[in-house]
Amino acid sequence: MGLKELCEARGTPGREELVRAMVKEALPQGVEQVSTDAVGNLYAARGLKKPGPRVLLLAHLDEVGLMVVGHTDEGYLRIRPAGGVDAAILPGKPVRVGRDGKEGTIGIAPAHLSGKDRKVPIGYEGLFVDIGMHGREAARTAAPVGEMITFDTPYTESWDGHAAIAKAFDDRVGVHLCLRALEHETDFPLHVAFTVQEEVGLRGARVAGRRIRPDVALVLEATAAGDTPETPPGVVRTRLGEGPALTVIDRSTIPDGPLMQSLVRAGELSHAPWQWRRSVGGGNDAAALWPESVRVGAMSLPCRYLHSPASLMSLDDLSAAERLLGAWLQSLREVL
Amino acid sequence: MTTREWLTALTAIHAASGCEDSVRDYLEGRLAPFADRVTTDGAGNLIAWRDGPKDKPLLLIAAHIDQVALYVQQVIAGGYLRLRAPAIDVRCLPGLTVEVGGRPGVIGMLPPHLRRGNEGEKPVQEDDLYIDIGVPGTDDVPPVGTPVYFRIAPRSVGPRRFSAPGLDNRASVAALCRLLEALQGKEIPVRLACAFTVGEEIGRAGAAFLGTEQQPDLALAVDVTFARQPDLPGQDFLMELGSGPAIGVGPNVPLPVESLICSVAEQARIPAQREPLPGDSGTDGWALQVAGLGVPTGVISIPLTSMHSPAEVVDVQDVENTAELLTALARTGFGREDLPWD
Repeated sequence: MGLKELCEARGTPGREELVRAMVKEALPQGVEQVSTDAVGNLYAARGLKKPGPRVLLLAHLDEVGLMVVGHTDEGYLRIRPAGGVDAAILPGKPVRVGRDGKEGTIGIAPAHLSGKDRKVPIGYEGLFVDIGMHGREAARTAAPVGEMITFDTPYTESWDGHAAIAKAFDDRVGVHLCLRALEHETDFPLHVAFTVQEEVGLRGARVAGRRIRPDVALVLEATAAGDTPETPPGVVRTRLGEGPALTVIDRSTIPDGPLMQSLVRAGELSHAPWQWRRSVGGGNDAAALWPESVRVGAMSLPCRYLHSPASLMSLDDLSAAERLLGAWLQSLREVL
Repeated sequence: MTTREWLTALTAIHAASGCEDSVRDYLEGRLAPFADRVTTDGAGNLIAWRDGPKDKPLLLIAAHIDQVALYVQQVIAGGYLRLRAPAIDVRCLPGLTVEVGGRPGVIGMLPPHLRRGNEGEKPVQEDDLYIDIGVPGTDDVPPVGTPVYFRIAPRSVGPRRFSAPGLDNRASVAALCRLLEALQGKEIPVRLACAFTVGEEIGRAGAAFLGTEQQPDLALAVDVTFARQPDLPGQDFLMELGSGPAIGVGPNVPLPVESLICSVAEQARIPAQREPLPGDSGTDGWALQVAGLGVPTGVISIPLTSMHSPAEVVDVQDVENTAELLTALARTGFGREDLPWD
C-alpha cells in the first residue's frame, strides 16, 4: 500500500469506512491484534506481551471534503464543508460524490456572464455540483442529503520524484508512517490508532486515548508549510525539504519535553533532518489525549496548500520522517 | 470512434491560441482516411476537404481548435511562477492542478487566515496567485510566456454528460470529426471544407483569413454556447443542456440561412433549440460573415456549462445531434439561389 493509494482513497469526517477498510487490508504481518470501536477508530497492536511503556501512535483516517445538503430543481447538488474548506478554492474543481465515487464537477458562472459578480468572493450559497442528473428527484436518488463529496486529484510526483501533489496528505502521510511503524518488531507494546473525525473536532482520538490508556502517545500529522510567496516571515511554521516538523507548542497542546527531546535524539541517531514547527497556532489529535495525563508529542510533515484539492509535499521529508520514526522506535527504551 | 472517444482524445491535447500545432497534427493524421485531402493554410487553419466539381456549391464548416489558457508572467524567488489568466474567472484558480511545459504544478495563494485586514472579503486577484511546480529554485523553471493548462482528467458526469477542460471548443471539433466519419464513402451534393481554425479566443484571426481565402457559398461556424446553470439570475433564456444544438438567430445569420438550417433539422427530426444572438455571436461566424466579399453564414452551437473554467460540461447527445445536423445539411445541400443576396 503506497502513499498514492492512501491519498486517492476517499473518506470525509464520519464517512471513513472506505479508508478504514483499505488500511485494515494493508496492516503488515506481525500485527497481533486488530479491532475497531464504537466511533469507528481502527486499532492495531504488536508486542503486547513485551514489558515497557505502552506506546500509541495516532494518525487520522478522515480528510476534509464536502457534504450534499440539498438539490436544485434542475438536478444540481448544493454543498457545505465537512471540515475546514474555504469556498474560494472550490469553483471549477473536479470531485467525486458518494461511496461509489460518481464523477462530478463544481460549476462556476461563465467568465463572460459573471460581470460585476466577479468583484465579490464566491461563497457556499453560490456553489453547486453537477453529477449529470436531470431534475430534483433524479439528483436526490443519485446523491441523497448527507452523501460525502471528496476532491478528485490523482497522486502525481514532480521534480524527479522529490515532490508529490495529491489531495488528503492530511493525514494519509500519518497513516502511511503508522503502517511503516507496524512493520518492525519492538521491545515494548506498540499500539496504533487510526482515528476518525479529526477534522471536525478530534473526536476519534478522545475515545482512542481512553481505550488504549498509553504511557506515551505520538501523533503523526501533516502541517502547513509557509515557504510560499507573501507569507510574512513571522508566520512561517515549516519549510519543505527541511525534514519532519516537531511541535514545541500549538493552540491546544504543550508536548512533553523529554518525549520531544527523544525525537530530537532519534533525528541525530538516524541522521534524518528535522525542524521545529515554528508556530503557536493549529492543533491535532494530541490535544484530545493531553487531558488524560498522557505524555504526548507530535511529528508532522510540512505540506503546502493543506485543506485544498491539491497539496504539495516533499518526498525527501517523508523518507526522513520514516528514518527518524524508525530510530525512535528502536531506541525508545533508552532515550525515554 | 464514438463521440465520447473523440471527446476524450481531443481534450487530452492542449493548444493555447497560437500554439495549435498539437491539435492540428493530431487531426491531420486522424482525418486523412475520411478526406480527399487535408491542407493547412497560411494562418495555420487545417482544412479537411471533400472535393467535387466546381458547379457544386462550397460548404465551409468551421470549428476553432485553440483553447483558453493561463500564461507564465514572471518567475519569482523560490521558483514560483506568477500567472496571467485572460478570459478566465480567476476565482476558479486557487487549489487547481495545472500543467506547465509538460510538468505538474499547483496554483497556490496565501491561506485565508494569513490574508491581511479584510482581504478575505475581496475576491482573489491574479496577483494573489502563483504556480508551484515543486522545484526549489529559479534555474529549472519554464520561461515567461509558457502556456499553463488545467490538468484535469476527462470525466463522465452522469449517464449523458461529459466534463473536461477545453470542451470549448473540442466538443465542436468532435462533432466535425463525426461528420466526416458519417460522410465517408457517401456522395454529397456539395464540395465540403471542414476547417479547424486557429486564434478564435484571441480575436478570430484564423476565421477571418479562412473566409477571405475560400469565399465559400455558405459557412457554418460551430462553437459552444452558454447553457443554463444555477445562480445566473435573469439568464433563463440561455440554452438547455441535452435539448440539442442551438441554431443561432440574429444579425450573424441571414434569414435564408436560418430557415435552411431549421428546416433541415426539422425534416431530419433532430432536436434543436433557437438561440437568440442579438449582436456578436462570439464565434468564428462573426468574422466569417464579413470576410472578403462577405459570406452567408450560420451559427450552430453546443450548449455548455461553466465555460472557460476547468469544469466545462456538455451533454454527449447534444454533440451527437450537432454532428447529425451537420451531416444532414451536407447531404441535403443547397442551391446558390437559396442564399442571400447576390
